[in-house]
Amino acid sequence: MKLKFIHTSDLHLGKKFDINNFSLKERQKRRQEIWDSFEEIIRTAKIRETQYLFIAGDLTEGDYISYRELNKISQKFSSIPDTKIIITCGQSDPYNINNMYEYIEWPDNVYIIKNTEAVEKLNFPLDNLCIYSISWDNHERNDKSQPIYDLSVDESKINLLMLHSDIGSNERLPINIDMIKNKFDYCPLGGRHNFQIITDNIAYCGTPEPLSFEEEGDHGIIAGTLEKKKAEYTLLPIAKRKFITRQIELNLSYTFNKILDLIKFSGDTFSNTKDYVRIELTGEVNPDISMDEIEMEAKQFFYYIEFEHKYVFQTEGRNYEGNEFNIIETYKHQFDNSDDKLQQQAFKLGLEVLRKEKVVK
Amino acid sequence: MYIKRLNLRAFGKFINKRISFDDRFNIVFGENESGKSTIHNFIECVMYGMDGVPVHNKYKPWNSSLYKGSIEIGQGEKSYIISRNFLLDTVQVFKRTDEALEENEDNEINDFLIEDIEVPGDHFFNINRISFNNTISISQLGNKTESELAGELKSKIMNLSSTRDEDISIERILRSLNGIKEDAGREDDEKSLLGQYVLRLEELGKAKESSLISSRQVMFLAMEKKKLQSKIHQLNLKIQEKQKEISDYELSLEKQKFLKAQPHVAEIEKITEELKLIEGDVEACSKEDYIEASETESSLASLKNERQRLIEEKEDCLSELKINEEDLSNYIPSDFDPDKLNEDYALFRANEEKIRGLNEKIKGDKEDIASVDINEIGMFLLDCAEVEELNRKIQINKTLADNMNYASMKKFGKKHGWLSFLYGFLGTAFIGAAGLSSYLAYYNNNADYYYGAGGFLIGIILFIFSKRKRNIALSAKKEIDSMECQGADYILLNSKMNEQIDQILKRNNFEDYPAMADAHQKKSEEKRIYEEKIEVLNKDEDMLKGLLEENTVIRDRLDKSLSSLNLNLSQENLIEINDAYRRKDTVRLQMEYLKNKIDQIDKDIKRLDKEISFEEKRLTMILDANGAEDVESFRKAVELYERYKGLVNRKDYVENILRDIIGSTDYYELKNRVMNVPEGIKEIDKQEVQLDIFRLNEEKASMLKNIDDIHKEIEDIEENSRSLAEIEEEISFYENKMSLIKDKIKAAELAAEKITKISNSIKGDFMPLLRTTISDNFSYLTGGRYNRVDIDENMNITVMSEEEGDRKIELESLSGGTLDQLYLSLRIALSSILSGNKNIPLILDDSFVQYDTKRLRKSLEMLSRESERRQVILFTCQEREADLSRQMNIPFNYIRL
Repeated sequence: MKLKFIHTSDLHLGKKFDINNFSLKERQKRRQEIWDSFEEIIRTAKIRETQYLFIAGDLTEGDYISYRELNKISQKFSSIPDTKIIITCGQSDPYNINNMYEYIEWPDNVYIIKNTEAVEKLNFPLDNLCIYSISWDNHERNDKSQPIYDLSVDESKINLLMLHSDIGSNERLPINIDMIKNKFDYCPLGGRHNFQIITDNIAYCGTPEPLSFEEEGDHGIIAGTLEKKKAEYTLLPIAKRKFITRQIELNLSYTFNKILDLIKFSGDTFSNTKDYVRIELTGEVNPDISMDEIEMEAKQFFYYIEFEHKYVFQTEGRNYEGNEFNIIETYKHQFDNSDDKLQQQAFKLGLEVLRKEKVVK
Repeated sequence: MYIKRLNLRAFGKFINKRISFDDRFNIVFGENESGKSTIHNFIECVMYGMDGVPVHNKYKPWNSSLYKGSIEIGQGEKSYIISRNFLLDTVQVFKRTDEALEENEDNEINDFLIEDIEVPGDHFFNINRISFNNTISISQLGNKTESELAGELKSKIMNLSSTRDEDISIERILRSLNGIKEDAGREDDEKSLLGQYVLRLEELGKAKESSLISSRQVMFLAMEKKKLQSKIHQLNLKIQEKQKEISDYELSLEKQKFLKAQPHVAEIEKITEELKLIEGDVEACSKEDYIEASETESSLASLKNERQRLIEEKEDCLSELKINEEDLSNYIPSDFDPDKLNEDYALFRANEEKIRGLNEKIKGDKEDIASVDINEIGMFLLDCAEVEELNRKIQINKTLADNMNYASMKKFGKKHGWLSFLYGFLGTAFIGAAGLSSYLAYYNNNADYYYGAGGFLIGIILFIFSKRKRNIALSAKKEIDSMECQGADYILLNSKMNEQIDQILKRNNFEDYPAMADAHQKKSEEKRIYEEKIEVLNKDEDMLKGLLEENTVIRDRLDKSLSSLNLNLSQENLIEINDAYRRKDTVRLQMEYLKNKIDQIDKDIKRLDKEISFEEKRLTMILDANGAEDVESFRKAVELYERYKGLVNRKDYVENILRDIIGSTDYYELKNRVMNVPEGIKEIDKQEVQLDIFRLNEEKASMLKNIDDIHKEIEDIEENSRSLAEIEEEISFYENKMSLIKDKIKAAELAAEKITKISNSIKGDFMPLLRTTISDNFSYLTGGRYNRVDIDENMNITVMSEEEGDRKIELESLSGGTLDQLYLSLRIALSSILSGNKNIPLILDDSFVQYDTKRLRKSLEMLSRESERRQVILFTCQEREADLSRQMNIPFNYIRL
């Protein structure tokens, strides 16, 4: 019989957002949206009559989650009593003296991996299923790979290894894939925020809601079925918004409107009014064009937009044989092609003041 | 370098317009709207291209499909043609190789094309468009007071000296950059933005601290709760243990119950078996229904009996009614009067008595009368009467014959004969007299004679009288003659009558008349008696007749009365009638009574019928409802059913007993439960154990309450503390803001530094050059009157006049004209500097419109002087410039548009 499962991780419920360009309101909203996604996962588990829900670490942001919120999570879990929920503690919610999980009344269908020193084994004889997992006990590092390698499993059972691990890293529970790929029927991993299939039976589900511009692409949960030696699964996108970065290369000949249009039409309108968009502006820009103004106007067409200024102001090629006339022309040459942010900012600021002076006159 | 020629092939209003310029002073005159600005712009557009769409559209010719033109520029010995197509925005520069060859658009191929010149203005003038507009086209300084002029000029020179732009003031720039820093303020200045942010961050730091404390508190409380929960767990175990004790005890009690219940269960099973046997035949009939059905049936029977009795009673009443109806009294009409009948009958009887009496009397009387011969008496009496009559006639005839009026008749006749004559005579006389009189009247013609005619009338009257008297006299004569005949007749008659008398006497044997007269008296008496008797008889007969008639009437009446009763007239019948009449009311009342009774019986029967039909229906219904064909089969079914019910009741009863013993527990369950329980009872003090459980539960409840309190406390703490994530986000938000501001300040400082550096370098490099160039030009333009313009370290500008022994003169002290010269010097100096001393043309567009003649003279003089060094093109809308130039003998090339 195939076992239905959902695999998620890295929800970071209660997360604090450090994206500087996010307004305080947006951060709050995004935090709520993660909660909404959590509820969506519960709903999905119910609708699909899922037997197992694997949460491979970082369900909550341990330092920020409140008692009340944890109770809310517990309540939600109790609304799907037929689904067994297996929770591993990850880097953000390590299982230690400060972890509040210990003090919450969890319903019977919730299994929290509390062992941080050795691999814990959960046996579900009715489903002929064995789940192995180990939790984190701190925020910083975890190098308890050896107990995992030392595991021996009952081959007659369906064996799962659930980990919060960055397999390729040095200190975030690194794992040698070859050591586990043949031993287990499926390894639900957490700890990387993007969906990633390592091998047929080893996968990162990524965060259900992306949390920064480093987490582009589709996000959601893994839903699938389990059999001995056979895990079938697919990514079920549930994320409300995406983080999208777009590159726009500018050219000296581009006018104000041209640049604005390039930004406006850089993606489809639906995405623009929903997603978090970062525009990377590269290339050369005529310093006579007010990029600040363009950015202000572009904001009208996006739910969220921010800019990465990788372009340089390029003054027109010609020198009047050393007779570049007024101070503005001279000033433009003073900052030629500087990549330094402060220099760029200073250049823009000075140019702005000089131009204003000329115009006011 | 100078502009030799313009060829506006198609530009604005100009089509194929060519303008040639001198290399010195050119005055281009054109009234307003004649196209001066167009030409000016044409030069800019050919040299630098169209600056934007509006300009392109502004000069697009409306009456030509072309949009192009060219400019020929002279540079020393060389000559270049710059040709631009504005539609395609292409520009070509040709070097003229053959001066003799007339420039021709179509012949451009003959010229040498110079590649790589994108902007001819840059190439030939060595300045960009902005500088071209600023320097080559010189606009007027404005019509201002001398001090204002001096001020403006001063600031222009100062700006140029420090920024190379007359409009850009280095002070303002630096002030503005410094403003950014000042706006942000300092972190230690609470009033500034940065200071405020620092304060806010301090507050947030405190909030974060308190939030952390709160979460520690929550953690502590959560731990407490956990401890309590484990205690509760312990308690639960204890309670379970106690409960086990009780349940064991209760099981042994149950075993007892089971043992008690066993026989009852056996009975129930037996009854169930029995029930199974009859179950098939049992139909659920209601005993009540059966009782009702049998009651209905008996009441139906009694109703039917009652009905029969009523029918019989009705029969009796009907026959009695018939007897009564046939009673004589019923035939007596309503207007029947028995008194009248009795009276009539009595009268009738009395009359019959009278009639019998009268009949006897009349019979006697008739016999009496028949004995008298009345005819004989009558004959005799007639003869007597005849004799007497004849005697009287004889007497009368005698009288008549003796005593006749013959004499008087005669006398009478005579008298009237005479009277007749007299009247006749008198009449004749009068007529005669009248005739005479008439004659005389006619003859004498005297009217008076006519009166005599009246005599005719009298005469006629007299004749009439005469006639009548004569007639009377004639009648009297005839009478006398008849009288004489009658007398003779009487005597004859008498004799005849005497004979008759004698005959009569003879016939009656009487001798004379007196004897006869005596006999006549006797006979008359007899006759009178006879007639009286007849009269009495007649009266009796009349009376008889009256009585008979009366009795007939009475008889008819009686018959009529009796015939209506079909009775004959008899005494008995009369008695019978009177009897009937007397009992009439009684009979009527009896009949009414009977009729009413019959009606009542009918109603009763109907009512009974209804009741019977209702009861029948009811019975049918009850039977149908219970599926019985008749009451008897119903009875049997009910009996069966009653038995069944009895069994069921018994079963129920036993089951109840069983329930009393084992309660709601299932017996078999109980059986299973206690199967392995030994029969003996292990006595415990249940109450004590229960009390223990109660105590434990109490303890547990108090702990649960504590947990509840902890819950509330946690909730309270969390509700009253801000989310740590939010606080930290806010902190990072403000920190980021501060860092942005600091970056901006840094950037402003950096920019200011750079700008100052550039300005200083301008002051070092450009200012001396500017000063020298202005001085040169100023000196040249003023014909050496002022030999130097000085700008010192502090940007004080002075001019030095040779005449005044190199004394430094402030600009404010210079006259307007001198300031103009200085301004022009500045412009020329700039263009010289910018173009690298290329002596590019000077273009002035209506620069002197507001100048008075004196100032204009000076300016023209100055331009004329400058034109010796470079080309000057002056656009004007007034003739003044040309006129004055002529007056002043200034050579110039005059172009009129």
